Amino acid sequence: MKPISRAGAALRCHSDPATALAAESAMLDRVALGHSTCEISIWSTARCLVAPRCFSRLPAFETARAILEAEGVPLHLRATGGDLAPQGPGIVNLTIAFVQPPGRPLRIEQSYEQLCEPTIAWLRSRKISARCGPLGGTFCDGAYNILIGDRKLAGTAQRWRAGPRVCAAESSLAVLAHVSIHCAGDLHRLSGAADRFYATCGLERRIRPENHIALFDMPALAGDFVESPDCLDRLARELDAAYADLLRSKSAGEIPGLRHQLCRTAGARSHPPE
Amino acid sequence: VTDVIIPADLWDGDTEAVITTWLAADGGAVRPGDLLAEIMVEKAQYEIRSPAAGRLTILKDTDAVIIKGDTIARIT
Repeated sequence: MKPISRAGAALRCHSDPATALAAESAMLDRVALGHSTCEISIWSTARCLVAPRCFSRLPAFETARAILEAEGVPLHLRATGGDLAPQGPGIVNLTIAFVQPPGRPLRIEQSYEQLCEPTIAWLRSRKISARCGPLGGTFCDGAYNILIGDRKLAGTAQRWRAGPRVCAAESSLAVLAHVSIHCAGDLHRLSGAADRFYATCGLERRIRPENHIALFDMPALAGDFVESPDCLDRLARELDAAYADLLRSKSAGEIPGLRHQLCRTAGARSHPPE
Repeated sequence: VTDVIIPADLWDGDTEAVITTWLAADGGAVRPGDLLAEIMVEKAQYEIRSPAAGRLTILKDTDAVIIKGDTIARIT
């Protein structure tokens, strides 16, 4: 497999969320099998909710899923951990997959910090102050939300694969790390659907959409950035550049017998935010 | 006999994890590299793969709270 050019990375828009999630899982498979050492994809998909696969064990899961489906909010299962998370044309996802070589231990917290730092640095370059932290009442809350003030901009999740199926190296580790950035549109419809899912499944948690913030609502981005018709593509290009150093360090991992290459998904025509 | 152990250096501190799914059956035959279970810690889903061939005995059930270094199954 030839290395793919680093130029021209852009937002990839999947009309089908199942296809989007399968493409993300395939990134982990490829790095785990040694087909590449590091991959990045910046993508969005149609409006839906996504849940960790373990949610399918909830006794009322199928009932709740059918209720949401009837409301026009499909529910899909994903490979990474966490809770219900929103997807839609106004949400930009950045997924990286890489192999952590033997002898270079990585902890889950370190991996989250590496994932979040380039986005936080990009925001800083745009004069937006952000930090990591938990925030109750938000979609898929965790210690590594990216927060602006007291509102959530982005969520993160990971999937780790270790052991003999990773590059035939016993102690190698393959990591899929994902950040989901709320760029445009409000989350009221999806938060309502999430609340109905929780209620149907007998879970007490609820989403407070006012605890979220959309990137393009930030005054610092008002003007040419947000008003640009290709603002999501522009964001994707700028995020791609922001993650270049991290990807370089990941793709330079020394694993004997592997060709070091960086794969990117080719850009596809993007759709406007909701 | 080979124990299936949660790696001790996977995460910092004393955070607890949860076994979210067993994908291999108790008493079933497994091969090296087979996906046995998934645990979740800090929203990270971690795949537990079989370290050996043999018959699986599950010691910690789905939804069990675990910590680093716990033995969750045994392969004989």
